[in-house]
Amino acid sequence: MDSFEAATQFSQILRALTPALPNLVRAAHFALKYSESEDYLFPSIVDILHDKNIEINTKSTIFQFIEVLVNESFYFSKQPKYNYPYIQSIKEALPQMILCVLPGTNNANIHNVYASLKSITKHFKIECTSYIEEFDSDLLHEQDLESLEKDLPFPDVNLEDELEFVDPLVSAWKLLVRKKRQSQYERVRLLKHNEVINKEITEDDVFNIKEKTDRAPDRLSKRQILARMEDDREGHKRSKETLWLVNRPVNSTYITEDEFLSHYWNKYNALTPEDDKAFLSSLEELNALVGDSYKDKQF
Amino acid sequence: MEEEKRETTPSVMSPADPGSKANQSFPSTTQISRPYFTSSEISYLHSKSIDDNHKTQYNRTKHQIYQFAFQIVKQLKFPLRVLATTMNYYQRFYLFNKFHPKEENVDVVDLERDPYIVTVACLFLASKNEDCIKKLKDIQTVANKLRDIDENKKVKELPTTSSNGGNSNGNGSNSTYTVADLQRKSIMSLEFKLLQIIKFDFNNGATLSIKSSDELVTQFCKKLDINYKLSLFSWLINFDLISSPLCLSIPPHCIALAIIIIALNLKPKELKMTHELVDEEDDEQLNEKLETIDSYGDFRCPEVLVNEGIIYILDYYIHQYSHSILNQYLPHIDAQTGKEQIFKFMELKSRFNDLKILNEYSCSSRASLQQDNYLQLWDYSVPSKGTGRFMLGNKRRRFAKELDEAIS
Repeated sequence: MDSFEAATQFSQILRALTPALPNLVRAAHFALKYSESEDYLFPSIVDILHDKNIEINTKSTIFQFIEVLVNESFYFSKQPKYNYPYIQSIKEALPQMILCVLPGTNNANIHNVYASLKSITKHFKIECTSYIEEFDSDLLHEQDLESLEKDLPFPDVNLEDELEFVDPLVSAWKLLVRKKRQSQYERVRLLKHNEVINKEITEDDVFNIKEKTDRAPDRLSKRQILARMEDDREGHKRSKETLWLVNRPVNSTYITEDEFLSHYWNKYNALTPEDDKAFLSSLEELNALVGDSYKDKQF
Repeated sequence: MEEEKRETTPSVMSPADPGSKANQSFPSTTQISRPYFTSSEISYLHSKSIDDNHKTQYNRTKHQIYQFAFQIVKQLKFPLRVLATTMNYYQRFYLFNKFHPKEENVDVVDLERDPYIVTVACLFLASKNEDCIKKLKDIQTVANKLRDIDENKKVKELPTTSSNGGNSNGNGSNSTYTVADLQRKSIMSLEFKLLQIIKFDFNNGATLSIKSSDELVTQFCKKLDINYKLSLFSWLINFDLISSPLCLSIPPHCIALAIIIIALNLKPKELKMTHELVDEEDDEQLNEKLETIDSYGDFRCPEVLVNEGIIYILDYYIHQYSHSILNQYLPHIDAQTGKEQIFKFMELKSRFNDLKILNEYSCSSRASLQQDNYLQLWDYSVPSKGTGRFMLGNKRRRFAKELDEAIS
């Protein structure tokens, strides 16, 4: 296959990509197999993300694909045959890609992008923990609260917002945090300036976001929404498969203090009074079962 | 009299619809889960499931099984709660099933009697209940590697082994299987048996809000603001107890609190640690914490259950200190007293002599234990030939009328 053919085929693969992990890995392996044609293949990724006719679900899938590609490229590069294909191009393009996957005020993909970017970041020796923490916090400034009162839309997030020269990974994080702030802002704005609907809403109304004739790719039809829910559920299930892993040193016959430190001491904190109350009441329920378990009354 | 009713009823009832097989009657039983037992109930059950001359063998095997399960847990990177639930299920299994020591199993094919295969089945079910899903094949592969078993070896299944429900290939006895295939069949069958043994009661595993005792012990330490060293010490004690039958007697939150009370009493100074933490309270402050513990108010732990736990744990260390993980973390001689560590446990126990522990009035005589139909080796033929119903204690009221009628 020559470079041109490979690029055409790759582009077809990407357009039909579904977020099931084996599919993502297969696509990544295709890209790595033809990594000599990176100059032809990489633009296909960028083109798809810029394509205005590609629906937003697919763009989210493409971003997950990028995460898989980065992982696989690092993995393949343990062999001398590979020299970190795609890594540099992807890293350079990350800020632009994020804006493509989160177009305008549509931040439906923000959580997936966050999860993928977090995983990509692990491969680089660049300190991004502050952004990861920031992402989960309340980001609204005082100025935002003022604009909220006036019902002003959040200013567009553009690449040019990040003028100072920083590593593209860092500016990707900065953009993402800004996007998160936008989504928090727009949510508060929606709650503040729109009427609450109390009447019953039919299923058709709930899904009626997109008219049949509407070609806007950023809005989703009922079928697309349901497909997306299914895909996200799949993704969530996948993340749960590894969430509980505990790495223990190979040569220890018993448990180690490190396990206690990282999986218990640093993980658990005293419950908040509210949580504690709920916890105690679930213990009461358990106690009732326990009490019934013995033949004699114990307590 | 309420006690009477709570018992299980392996009563024989006639079929609900008399038209079809009017003359036949089906065995039927209703089991209301009673997950916790007093120590006399446990010894009574063991007297039925473990022959007298196999008692030491049972304990030795359990110790090996624990090592075996821990190695699997380690290699598959399971959290400790999977190990704890595995050991819980394993010990529960041998309350209601006959224990056959390894030496007796010369017959390779009778895998369901093999404690190691029972362990793999327990671990498989535990991993599901704890939401750490692995394929059975992966678990088997690790287990067989540890036991040096070639799981791809071809064996010819003997025609006598179609005891597992006996549904498939009655005529396929001439086909060959791999060892792994045969194990798989036994494990699946054992898993179904285990579900009956735990009475389909998944409460002792991770429920949404109640964690396992390793997590609870840490959470309680944080609530009491206990320092790092004592928290680690408590967590180590919990690890020792994973292989003990204490989890069959009292619930995890009471185990956790009992451990912490012991830790606060012992206040070990010389725990081997690699991480130094600065915020050490002095003994005075620790004593104060111990004084102010309100076991029911703050932790919903009925005192009598905590006491049961305390006495059990102290006895455990008095008898098995040399095999414990604490022995790895504490110096042989305690610097303060100048004596071996075990004396600290003995001294503490003498101070706790008059604690009120579980009331065993109804389990005091063998006769009364024999009357309890729940305390029998479990008869798998009842649910397979007739009906078996399983329910949790707190769901009983919904069926009370129906059950009482069945009893009378």
